[in-house]
Order: sequence, then structure tokens, then C-alpha cells
Amino acid sequence: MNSPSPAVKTIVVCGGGLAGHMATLSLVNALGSDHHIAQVNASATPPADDIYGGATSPESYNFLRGLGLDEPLLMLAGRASFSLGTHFRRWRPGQTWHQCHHAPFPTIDGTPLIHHLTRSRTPLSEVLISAQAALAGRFAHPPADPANPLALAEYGYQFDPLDWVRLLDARIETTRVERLKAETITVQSQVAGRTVLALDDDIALEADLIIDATGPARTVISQTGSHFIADRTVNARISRQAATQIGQPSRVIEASEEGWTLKVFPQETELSLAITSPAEPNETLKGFDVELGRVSEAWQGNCIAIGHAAWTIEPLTPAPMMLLQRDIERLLELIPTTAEANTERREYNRRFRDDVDHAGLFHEALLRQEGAMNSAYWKSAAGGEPSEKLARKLRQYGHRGIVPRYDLEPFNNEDWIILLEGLGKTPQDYDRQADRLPEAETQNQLRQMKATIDNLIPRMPPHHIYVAKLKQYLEKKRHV
Amino acid sequence: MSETNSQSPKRIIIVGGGSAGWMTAAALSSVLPENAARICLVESEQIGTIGVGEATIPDIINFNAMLGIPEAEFLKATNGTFKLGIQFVNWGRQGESYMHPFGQHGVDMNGIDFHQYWLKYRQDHPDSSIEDFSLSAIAAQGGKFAMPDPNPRSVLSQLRYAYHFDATAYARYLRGFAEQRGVRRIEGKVTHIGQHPETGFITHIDLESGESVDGDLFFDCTGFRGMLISQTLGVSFQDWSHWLPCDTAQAIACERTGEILPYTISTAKQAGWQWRIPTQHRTGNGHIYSSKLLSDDEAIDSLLQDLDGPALGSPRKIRFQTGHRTKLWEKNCVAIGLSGGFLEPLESTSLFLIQEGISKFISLYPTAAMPAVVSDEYNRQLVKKFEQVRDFIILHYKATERDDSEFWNYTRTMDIPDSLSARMELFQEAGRIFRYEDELFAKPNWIAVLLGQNIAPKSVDPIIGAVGAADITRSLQSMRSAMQGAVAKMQTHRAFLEHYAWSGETV
Repeated sequence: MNSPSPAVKTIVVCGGGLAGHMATLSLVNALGSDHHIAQVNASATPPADDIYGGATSPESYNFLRGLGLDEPLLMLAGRASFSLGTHFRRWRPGQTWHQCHHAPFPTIDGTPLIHHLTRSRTPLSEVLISAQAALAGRFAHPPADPANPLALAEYGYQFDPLDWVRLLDARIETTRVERLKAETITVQSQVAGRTVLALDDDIALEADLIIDATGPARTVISQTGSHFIADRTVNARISRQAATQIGQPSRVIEASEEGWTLKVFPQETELSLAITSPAEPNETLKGFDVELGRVSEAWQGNCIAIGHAAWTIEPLTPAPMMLLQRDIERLLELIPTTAEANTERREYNRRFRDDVDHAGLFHEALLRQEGAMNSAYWKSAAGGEPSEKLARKLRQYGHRGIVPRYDLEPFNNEDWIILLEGLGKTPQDYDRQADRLPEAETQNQLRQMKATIDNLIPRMPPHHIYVAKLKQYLEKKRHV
Repeated sequence: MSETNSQSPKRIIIVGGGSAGWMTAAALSSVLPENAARICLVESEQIGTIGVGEATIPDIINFNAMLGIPEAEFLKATNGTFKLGIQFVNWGRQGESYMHPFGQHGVDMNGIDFHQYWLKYRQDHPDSSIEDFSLSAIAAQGGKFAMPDPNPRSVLSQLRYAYHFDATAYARYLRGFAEQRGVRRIEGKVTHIGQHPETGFITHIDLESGESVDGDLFFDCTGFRGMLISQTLGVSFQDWSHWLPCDTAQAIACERTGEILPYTISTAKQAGWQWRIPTQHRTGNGHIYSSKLLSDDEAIDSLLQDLDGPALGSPRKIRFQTGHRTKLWEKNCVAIGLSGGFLEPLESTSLFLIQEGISKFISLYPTAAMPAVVSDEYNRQLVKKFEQVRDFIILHYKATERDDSEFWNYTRTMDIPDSLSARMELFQEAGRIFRYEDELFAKPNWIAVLLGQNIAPKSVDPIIGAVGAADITRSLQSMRSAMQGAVAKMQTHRAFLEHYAWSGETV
């Protein structure tokens, strides 16, 4: 084994925005100086960045830190706030729940919590600290002490993509990344793993690897032979409003006849995103149309599409940010070592398909429901081929509260149980092992869990006060 | 919802003793609520069980803990010893050996796998072996043992272990455990199995004594025959012998000479391989081979020649077929152990697969109606487990340069499952490993065997390029000396056992 100069020396990232900037920064952090990294059109943030949904999941914490976006920076300069999940309001008549982030549920007497809840007919949300805190509009950091029920809460961030793009851009400016601009990017030739891009038809740029982060424009990947598999089209309309006080520690989604509206509450702003059916030809008030789906191969030739250039999924959950993170992690894990890169490409595409499809299962469960509204958006959202993988989950959960897992699904067991409970699904039966504990004792323990939570919530500060105090503290620490 | 209680199976019949039967009986009697069901185990003393010194993987500790079995008491009762890994001799090439230790190699740093650091380190230190950075491997080679330290900052926290023990004694021990918890043992040979005329569900079994035993739920622990799952319910078998061509074993115990090694030895031979499993009072040995390429007499000669002490008794022959039932749970019958499937014990997974069969069953515990929705999920999960273990075992046969016999020429050049070839290629490029979510064998296991059998990555991962070679050398050398220091302070394996759980039994 030897390490000659790397097979992939020049990497060109096309596009800016969340995807382009996160990829560029990750690459320059991870790779040594024998790799040349260039970014084309860094300043063009695709408007579709807003449909990343303005929220991260708890899994993003280390990833963001690796990019230099640690919590103090996000709070002080990134105008972020905390996110305990997404509050679904009147998703269907009678369906209102908090899709919260939660650490693995505790067991009672060695048996999973869900079976005890089914047995004693106790609603799950009553014993979820993060759901109750979000409903009360309160927040505090989960403590390290496992005896404190708040330790089971998990959180991500709410943010305005424009703020984070600005932070990332400033960080890239301090690195060795070469930055270029072009009106048009054309693939001129693709020979043996080396691609020549023509910028504005006159500058030729040679690259061993191209990262397409141009959003739904898919500028480069669409020129490589990979095609987009469209599921359906929706319209997204975004608005920003100044806010004097930070809103709740969770996003809010509310359904209507035409579709649904998402509200995000970072510092100083309220972001609102309306998703409806595509615009009719004469409609002018609408936002922009987006095709949902994914590309057939995210890695084709030596071009890898990431983020919205590879897939588009509605921001019903933090799935868009989760998938973007996975795209970048997968890319770093599989930086090719040969010009052909056949092995890496095959593995990348396999995991890409799994990740996108598995995230899609969660959204399918939200959208494909009995008794959906009879409008264009909802009919289209509930259409298409039902997935056997989702059917298995629903069957197993409905039977006995079991949620089958597929490989490395983005959503964990807790996410699924909270979702299915929120959608009003109830297991018919529970695990017999729960019977080892007398029913009265189970009810007693559940009552205690609820009482501890009810007692704790009023002692947590409101979200906006917590953020303000935290910022004061961080400012003081910075100046010491 | 308490009225559904009445629907759970009330009469559970386990057919067959041995490790599978008694592990099932012990687990069910321990986890089911009191009086939830009546459990009977039917076995015949005339039918022998298989098992000559059993080697395990660390998961067995969880099984014993679930039952609440005290470790020292269990080791004493089964002449058990500690196992820190497996030494593979003559697998990649003749004359070579490597250790597949439990636990991980080194410590991952900055989100980059340890082995990537080591691959870069090896460029300047060609004599280095990745085993030098495994605490379990260093202790095994020194014949030492200590309990892992739960404090993650201690170097001893990296130690992982399993056991070697007498499987017959383990079954006997679990029998006592289960009988104490109300399991009724019925001595007798099964003569007939009764089925419901319409549903095909098993309703009862008739015994030679004339006794008839009725049941709602049946466990088939009858070994390779699969009296219930196969002979009665006709579930078909997925054959894997084209990937794993060994079909026969000759097993024998011998007197122990020398120290009690804290690891298993697996030596590749002309048409198969031989195991050596140390228990407290003797050594278990077995030669596994392909009967198409080696006669029984040749196999026995080779087995006896390579014993390291006088033989105890004469070799026992075991025929087997590698693969699994297409359904391990059919109607009201669950196949646990050899009746459900068999993979040769190259990576000591036999008891693990039994354990998985039991624990998945408990987590999916059915009502007496035995709804297909439950058995369907059970079968999906169990078949996936078998396939994952299969790939790891095939790797040992495929990743070889041996060309000294028909057997190795076949395995070296055979087609392998796509899932395995994709993994091997990925590792060959730049030492990358992908692990499926709930896979038994983790990254360090794959790395130990891939590197041990000379699958060398062509280049280092580019993400290690940014880390300075001097920094890597410093980190690795300090890891190694910390491990060597910790092992130097350990007791010998024998001294530890004598102090902790010595049975005092002699052969």
C-alpha cells in the first residue's frame, strides 16, 4: 500500500446556499492541502433553501460543531432558537399533537413504555417532557443528571437559512477555497473521471470531482445522464416577518383545505411557508413551484448531487436538514481514491436511495391517510403507490405496538411511535411481559412520571427568556 | 384490556432438550408472568445432544444476565473459561495466523475510525499489526485475564469477553433453573405429532409411553431433523452449502496439557478446519470438513494427529447442512436451534442464534391465535440475522490465497453474495467499512478478519491525509504502551479462574 498523490485532486462545488457552503466547508476541513477545492457561484443562495424548513434535528449537533457552528455562535450570531420538534395543529380533524424530539423512552420493569401505555390506556404525550415543555412554550437545556426527567428531552435548532448561509460564507472566506463566478456552467467533456466545465462558455475548469449544490436547478447533475424521478409538484410561498419576541420552542404546522402552513420561530423573525398545489397559469400571488422526488443516481460519472439538487422533500419534519447532513457525511466517507470510483459510487448511490426512501416513509405516513381532504393538494399528496415498508410498520404497530426498523433510517423508534400515536393509531394489544407488573402499580408509575413532568414544567423559563439569558451569559463569557 | 390475557397461549410444549430446548425453557420460565402459561419440555435420554465444548460471543453475557444467573456459579457448573477472541491459523496463507479479538482496536479519534490511523501508521511501520492495539488480543496472547472496567476512561474498559464451556453441562444447569421455575420435564420419545385437520396447527404429541401431550404453542428443538417444523409442517430449507461446503464434523475431547488459553483456536486444514476449545478440565476439539473432498477416516486421522493431549473417548460424527428454514416460525411452531438453521461454528454463533430466536420471540410474543402478522415479522428479522452472520463466515473462506487443495481452490474462486463482495471491494479501495444497522458483527470484527486474511486496502482514506504522521505515531505508541502496561498487571487466566470460579473437576 502506498499513498501517491490522490486520484482526486481538484474538487469543484457548484452553488452556494446551505448545501454548497456546508459541503465546501466540510471538504476543506477534512482534506489535506494536496486537494484543491473551488466553489463556483457561492453567492447565489437558491431560493429553495427556505424549503429546508428552518429546523435541525438533535442528530445535527456534532455535525454543526464540526462546521464551526457551535451553539454559542448560533445563538449570538446565527439568530437561532431552540426546537423541541414540530407542533401539528389540526392536521386532520381531531389530530393535534407535538412531534417532539425525545431520547429513548424509559422501560418499566424491563418492558418498553409503549406496552404499559397501551395496557393502561394512557396517552403518550402526557409522559413526554419535550412535548409538554413545547406546549407550555418553555425551554431549558437537558441536564446531564439522568434522574432529572428533562434529561430525556432532545432538541435541534430553529433558524433562518439566510443567517446560517452568512455565517458559513464568512468561515469559508478564511480558508484556502478558491471562489469563482459564472452565469452559466456547462459540462464540456467527461473523460475517464475528469470533467471539464465551461464557465460562461469561455473559462475551462477541470475537475476530478464535482459537487452539484445548485438546488432544484440541478445545473450539473442534469447534464450527466442522471434523471429526476418526480413524484408530484407543490407550490411554496415564503414570507418573513419581524418579531419582537421569540416564538415557541417548536415549529408549528397547520393544515388547511389548500395544503398546509409552516411557521418557524428563530430570533427576531417569524418565517412562514405555505405549501399548496401548483400555481394555475393565471395565478400571481403564489410562490414558486417545486417538483418533489429524487434523482435516479445522486452520483453519476464524477458528479455528486447533494441537497435539493439530489432530492426535494417537503419540510414537514426536519427531514430536509437530516438528509442534507447525510449527503455530506456520505460524501466525506466515500471521497474516491481512484479516477473510476466505481466501488464508492455504487455504495454512495445505494445508501442515498435508502436514506431518501426511508425519510419518505415518515412523510408518507403523514400524508396518506383515510379521509383526506378532497382538494387538489391532498388528493395528490395521498396518491401514488403505497410503500410495502410503511404498510409493514403500520401493520406491526397496529397489532402490538412494534415498529419494525430498516437499515439506518433517519427517523428513530421514538419519532415513529410519537407520529403514529399523533395520527391516532392505537395498538390492538401489548406485550404480555407488561403483565408481570400489577396494573395498579403500572398506573401508579405512569401517574408519577406525569406528576414529575407537570411539576417541572412551570419551573422552566419561557423560551424567549431562556434564549435572552443564555445570550447574556455567553456574551459575558466571551468578554472575560 | 385485561380480557385479552385469556387469549395468550396457555400450554407451551418444547420438544427436545439440549442447549436450544433448555435455553428456551429457562428464558420463558423466567420472563413470563407467573401462572401465565404451563411449560413442558419433552426429551429423551436415548437421543444424544450435540456439543463438545462450546465457544460463545459476548452476547451470551446478556442472556445469562436476563435470567439473573451469577457468573461464577455458572462457570463452575459448566467448567467454563474466559474467551477473549479466536486465533485463526493457516487461513489467509499457510504458516500465518491472526487474532480476531473481542472489542475494538485502539480508540477512534476526531470522528475518524482507528484503523484508518493504523493503516497510515503502517506505511512507516510495516511490521506493525493491528492486534498490537487490541487490549483483548494483547491479553489473550499473554494468557492473561481481567474483568473490564466500567469506567470508560480506563484502558480496561476496552476489554470484551465471552466464555468457553461444556454445553451439555450448561443445558443441565439451565434445566435445574427452569425446573425450579415450574417447567415440567417429560421423559420420552415422540412417536406421533397430531395436527388440527383444518388449520394444520399442531395440537398434541404422542409419546412412546402412550402419553399424549396437548399444547397451544410448540417449540421445535429437535435438532437437524426438525421433527415439527420440517417433518410435520413441511417448511422448506434454504440451502447455503454452495457457499459453505463443509457438511461433516468429527468431535472429540482430549486431556489438557499446558496452560488454559483464554481464546479459541481455529486451524484451517486441507478440506475444512479444526477447532480447539479449552474448558477448565479438558480441551474440546472438532474437525469440520467437506465429505465430498475428504473421507471420514482421513478426517479422523487428521483430527487425532492434531490433538495436543491424549484423546478422551472416540470421535463422534455429526452430519449437517448449512442454511436455514425459509420460515422459522410456521403456524404455532417455532424452530429454535439446529432445527431452524445451521451455520458452522467458525465464529461461535450457534448459541447466539438460539438466543436471538428466543429474544425475538419474547419481544413479539403472540396470542394463542398465532396471527400471521407476528410470525411474518419474526421470520423477516431472523432470516436477516442468518444472512448477516453467513456473509461474515463466507469471508473467511473467500479471502484466502491458499491454492494447495481442491477445497481452497473452490472457496477462493466461488461466487459470493453481492452484499459481501460490495463490502470486500469497498475495504480494498481505502479501508472503508460499512456496517448495517443491527448487524451482529461490527466494524472491528470485519477489520480483524479482512486484514488478518490479507485484504489490504490499496490506499489510505483521503481524510487521514490532513493528519500529520508524527502525531499519529505518537498517539498510537502511547495507546500501545498503555495497553501493554494494563496487561502486565493482569493475573494469568488460570490464576483468575482458580480464584473466581474453579470447578475442581478432573477428567
